Amino acid sequence: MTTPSLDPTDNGPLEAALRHLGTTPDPAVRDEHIAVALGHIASTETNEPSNVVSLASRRPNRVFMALSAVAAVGLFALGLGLGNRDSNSPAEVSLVKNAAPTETVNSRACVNTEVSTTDTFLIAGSPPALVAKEVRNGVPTLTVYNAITCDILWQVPAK
Amino acid sequence: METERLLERAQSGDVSAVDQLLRVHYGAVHSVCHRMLLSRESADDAVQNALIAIVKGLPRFDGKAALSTWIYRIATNSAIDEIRRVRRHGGTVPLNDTASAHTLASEHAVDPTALLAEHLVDSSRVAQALGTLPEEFRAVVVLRYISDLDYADIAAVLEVPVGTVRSRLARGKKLLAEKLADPTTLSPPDEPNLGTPSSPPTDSSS
Repeated sequence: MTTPSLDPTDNGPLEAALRHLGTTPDPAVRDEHIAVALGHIASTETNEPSNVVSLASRRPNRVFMALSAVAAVGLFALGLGLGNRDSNSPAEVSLVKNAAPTETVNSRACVNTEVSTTDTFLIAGSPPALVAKEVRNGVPTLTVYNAITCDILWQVPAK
Repeated sequence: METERLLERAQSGDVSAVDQLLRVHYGAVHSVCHRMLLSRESADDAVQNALIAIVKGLPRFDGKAALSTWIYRIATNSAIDEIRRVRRHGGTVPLNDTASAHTLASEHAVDPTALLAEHLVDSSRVAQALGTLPEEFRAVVVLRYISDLDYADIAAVLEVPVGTVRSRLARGKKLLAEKLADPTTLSPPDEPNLGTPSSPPTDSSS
């Protein structure tokens, strides 16, 4: 079977056919989509970070995994430090377990969860955990998610 | 300048500005989602999710990338999310162009080189073949030829090196050509084709 030649100039017949695949939106559907999206302005949580992407579309790369290991060790050390601290001393960092936010995060919402791409770490484990540096209610927060269910496991104020 | 002012107003929560901004970029989001997904319903879901993500993300858009790049990134990710969601749930994916797909499936194989050379490539058939590519290749082909982005912009949208864009584009087009050359690889309308479950592409240039 002959494979069609691929025009090195990027202007071959296949490319031309692809360029003719533009779509024409239905104005009624467009208006409906926009109206629904605008309805989310009021519910927008204004402290989410910028540079957002969907978690579901991210796949960990080598750097990610390396940082994961560092993050895992850091969290482990943090946990040890808190556990050994004198109970009478004032808490500088509070470790809150199962501190769910007001909104329930379900698995569908997880797909649309948006976090910073630059301050996110995936920790391989069972279950795998995702560590995201976020700003919640004006407070920089390190949040640890169950990477499968997107339940929030821990939240600690980040310095 | 006008765009910057519109963006500023939109970021400050001006609903009419957000509305206007979404209308300006709706076509881009629509074309990416509708060419990344075979099913019109799934594509519409992806468009809707992308618009919501844009609205939610706007106040924190930091301008490090161009607004259009950021929007294309959201649209592409939304389409990829939808592809994976449909695949996970094993849902049926009716084809957009069912009539032509049926015709195509029953056609005799014709020398694809001759077809292409004579500019007789059926666009619906190309759309169907495109919808069966692994999403990594599909995204690059859609952004290059349908959204008309240059390599650098595609690299920015997908957050991959330009070399990776080039290699994915070349491999995507090769796969497309092979699918177009063999009508049996395209599904008839009653057999949903969710695309090939993609393994991470092995990019030689990254």
